[in-house]
Amino acid sequence: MTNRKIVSLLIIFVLALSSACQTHWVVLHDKTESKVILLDTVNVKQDDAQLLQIIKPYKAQIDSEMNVIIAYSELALTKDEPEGLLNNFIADLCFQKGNEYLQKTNNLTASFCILNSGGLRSDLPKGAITLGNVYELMPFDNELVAIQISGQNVKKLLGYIVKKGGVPESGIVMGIKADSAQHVIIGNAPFDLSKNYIIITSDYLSAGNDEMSFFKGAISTYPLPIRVRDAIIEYIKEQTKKGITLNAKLDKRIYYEK
Amino acid sequence: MKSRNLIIKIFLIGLILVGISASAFNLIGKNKYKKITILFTNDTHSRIEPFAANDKRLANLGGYARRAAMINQIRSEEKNVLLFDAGDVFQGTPYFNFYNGALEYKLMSLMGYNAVTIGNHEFDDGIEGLNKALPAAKFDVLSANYDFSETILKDKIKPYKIYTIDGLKVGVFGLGVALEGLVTSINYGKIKYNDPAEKAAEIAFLLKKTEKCDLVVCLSHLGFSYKDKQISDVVLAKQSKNIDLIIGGHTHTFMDKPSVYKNSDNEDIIVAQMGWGGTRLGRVDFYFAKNKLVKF
Repeated sequence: MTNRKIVSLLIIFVLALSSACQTHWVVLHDKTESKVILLDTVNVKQDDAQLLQIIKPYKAQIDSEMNVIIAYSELALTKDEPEGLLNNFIADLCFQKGNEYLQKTNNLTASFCILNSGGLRSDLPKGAITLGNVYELMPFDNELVAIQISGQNVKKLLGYIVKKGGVPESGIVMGIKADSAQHVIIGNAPFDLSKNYIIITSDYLSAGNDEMSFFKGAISTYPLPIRVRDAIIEYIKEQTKKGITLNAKLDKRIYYEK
Repeated sequence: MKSRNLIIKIFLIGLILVGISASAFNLIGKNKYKKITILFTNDTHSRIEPFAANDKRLANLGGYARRAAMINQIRSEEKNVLLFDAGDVFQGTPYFNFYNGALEYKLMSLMGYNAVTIGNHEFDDGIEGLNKALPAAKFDVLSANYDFSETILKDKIKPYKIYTIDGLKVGVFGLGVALEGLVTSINYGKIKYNDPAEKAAEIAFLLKKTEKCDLVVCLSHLGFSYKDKQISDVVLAKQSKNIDLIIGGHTHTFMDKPSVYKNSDNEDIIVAQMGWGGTRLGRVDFYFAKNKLVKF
């Protein structure tokens, strides 16, 4: 190899090196910094004035309609598993309201009510309950529905409750042991696999959403003429009218067996 | 023997030159670092105002005007800021029942969001509802695995976008959760759902290798992780290549700090999610350097 060849090889080598270096940036993963910034009044002393100004008229309209106090609650109603105060409160009232409408429209009575935990979007606070609180709890426009399914499908429904570790329901008392439903009482009688059951739920769930596939083989469906949110509002207003403050209890409707 | 000596000579001289150039790079190196600050939210759910003082879990937290103030402060301190959201901007307060998402998008435009992806609740008023709110969004709405070609959203939602900032290319794409069984079928109509992991692999390769992006960010509404094997941010992170950061949503996961995983190439990938309701702002600062010699 001649000297010239050596020189040209070196030039190519250095050129290749320098061009690579100049055109490429690399992330230094070990230098990456990440954090969570809590948006509280300590970290942010003053809210952005421009946005506050823009929000103002929208807020005024919403406040005028939503800040209406419709009830008082004796305690904060929160979601929990296998049962929760909010779960029980909402499922019980949907069961009651759903049955009232089902009686009126079809002269039928449902055996129980099931909802999904994900559908309860916010807690209800202790003290004054505004219309806005109910909108935040149930923002969806889903309607109540009664649906009749076979005992075989109710068995799948019970399995779903077990799998989820409890869901908002009313009318079923059951234990959970080793991933199966135990000692299931529906209404006042033990669960009967050979019987068909009428169930109150929402139209979103009766369509089989949120893994409620047991609703897909329904025997019959009875749409009820009220939204879930409006059923909640109607019930709460009735309680207030009777001078009753809102309350709920944990009653071991779903419990773990040893 | 002679040619072997020559090779050794070339190698030695080469090494010296490499050493010289390396030290030269180090000298320039002081101002040859770049930094990108990525800010993000997810599942803000129409929480225009802070949570009420009597809220059991999130009292007095969040609010759009407060988020804007924090973002402005960070922008005043940092040169290269990008702002993203991982979906479910819509639904949760009467603001959505009254104004159907347009106010949320308008305020996010003012905050300077660069891109968002689509959460399942973006379809709560159907495809038409999202279509009506979209003109208020002055940012990109990205989804790589929802196929909108047979809907009115055709051409309005892009799979990915490349942002060039301070000479760096940041590739961003969106991923959405399976709609069947989650969103009422009439609400998502003719949207076709494609496998998010396959789309992620395809788009991330395109962004990192073909488009030579310096950073690749995934806006995901798949959910952080699940008990079963269904696709989630953690599952995606571990099997992925060519993604540096997954900004997640859907599961409303509160984490003390974004988590770092190893991808299938044994490289770091960050997965982050900021709970819900706009109570938190996520921040990741990436530093970049000119390619090092170890790459040879």
